[in-house]
Amino acid sequence: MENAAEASDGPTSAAVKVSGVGRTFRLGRRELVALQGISFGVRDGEFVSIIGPSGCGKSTLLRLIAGLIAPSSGSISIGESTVREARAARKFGFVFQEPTLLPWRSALQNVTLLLELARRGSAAERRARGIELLELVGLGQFVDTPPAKLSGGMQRRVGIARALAVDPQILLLDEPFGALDEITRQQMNVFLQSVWTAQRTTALLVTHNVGEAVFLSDRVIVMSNGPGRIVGELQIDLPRPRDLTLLQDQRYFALAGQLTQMLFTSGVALQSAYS
Amino acid sequence: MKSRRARSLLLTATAWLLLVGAWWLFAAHEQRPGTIWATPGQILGSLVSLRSAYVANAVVTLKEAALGFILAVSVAVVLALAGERYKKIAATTQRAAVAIYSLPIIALAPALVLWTGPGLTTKVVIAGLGAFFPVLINLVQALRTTPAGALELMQVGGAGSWQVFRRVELPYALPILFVSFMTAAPAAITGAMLAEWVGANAGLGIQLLNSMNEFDIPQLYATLVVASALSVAAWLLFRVLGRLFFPWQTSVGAGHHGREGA
Repeated sequence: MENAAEASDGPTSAAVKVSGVGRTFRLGRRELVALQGISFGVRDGEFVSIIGPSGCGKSTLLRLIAGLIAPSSGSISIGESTVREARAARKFGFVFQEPTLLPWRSALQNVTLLLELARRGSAAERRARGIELLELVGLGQFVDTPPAKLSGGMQRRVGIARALAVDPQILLLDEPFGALDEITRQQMNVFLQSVWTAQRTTALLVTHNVGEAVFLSDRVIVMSNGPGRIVGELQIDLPRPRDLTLLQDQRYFALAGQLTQMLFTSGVALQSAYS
Repeated sequence: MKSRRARSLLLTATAWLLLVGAWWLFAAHEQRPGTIWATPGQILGSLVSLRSAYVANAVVTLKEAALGFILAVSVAVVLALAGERYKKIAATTQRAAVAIYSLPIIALAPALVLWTGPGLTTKVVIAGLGAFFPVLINLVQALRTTPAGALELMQVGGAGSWQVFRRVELPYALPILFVSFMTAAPAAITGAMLAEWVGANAGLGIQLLNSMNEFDIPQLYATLVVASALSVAAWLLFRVLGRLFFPWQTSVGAGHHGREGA
């Protein structure tokens, strides 16, 4: 908290290391600085959330880490490798804002899609792994169901199973439950918590929901907009495993309050130029 | 759901009955019956008495249209895929396609007869020209508008360009290709009939022309009925095939947004 602009880098064995990253976009003639001087690290097995108002570039940051776009300045490393190498080695599991399931594939075929691309295992092995993951996300009954027949929450669970299928070293979650209603979202948080506890993958979650960030994370990085930058971070030393009773715990309230305080005192511009 | 469908069918049937009834009354009370309007009864009579001629001509036209359609689809698919793969030639082929589309086929037909003779080739080429454009623009558009999320998913999954094409771009484009067939196939039939006007021994187009010259008004309308029936059948064929091959397409709206709640 002393030096708010630079979140801790973590130890040298960082799973993700972001150093001085900036990103500008062209909007017609104007140049828009989406991110500026972003530095932080994520330790192996750590669950880190990035929270900030819409337009602070938090989703852009996640996409930079996944290599979907390239940074304008600075560097990102994934363990010992570059982003490009990490992607080629299929170290990322990415959960999108929308479920992004292919409508002609069953739930199972959606989960095994990336394994097929990687030509990993035989068809029977991929199928077994896919069924195992669908059971893990509580969709063992819906193996052959097409996405259109699944509810929004179920579709997102298929998306999470798909991201886990490649045994990723890093799970990147881009506001995966942002479009869900509050009750479903809390159920999904509990569910994600239990899945993550079982897998212990390094996870990086982008969210704009204070409760979600506190409930799921070991550490929360707070961002602000105009231009997008890190303004602080908060350790969440709540015991695990966590369940819904935590939502009535005084420590949870205290941390959520602290996080809200950080968000509102960090000079968040009320209007953002983009979302 | 079922009763709504039944009601819509009933409504359509009623509308048709009213239309045919009105036609009948109008045609029967005309000043010189049978010169401009034929009654539905006369048309039906012509269809029955000359049935072998209608069938024979329909087969000829259908063959020309089918060959033209296959030619058009092949060329359009090759051009669309080439444009997708090699972006540099995409603009050129698009412009060429627009130029060809803007040619009035009816004016082109005599020239084509000069080049290729009055045989089957002319008909196939003109039928193909009618079908070519909708297939090309729809396929090009479909290949360009693959959902961004699906492309990013493939990118994260480390997919190569061939995998992206086979797993995502093509499956998303195919249903739209079939929708374009629904307009292209009737256009091929119209094109084939048009080509027959320039010179042919058989076919619905030439039958239309002959019945006009012979003032056989019932036959004229009956030929129109047969040609329309063929077009509707072609449209229906690709609609049914599209739904059969791509059942998710009908529920894509629901699939994109999904029903909320776990």
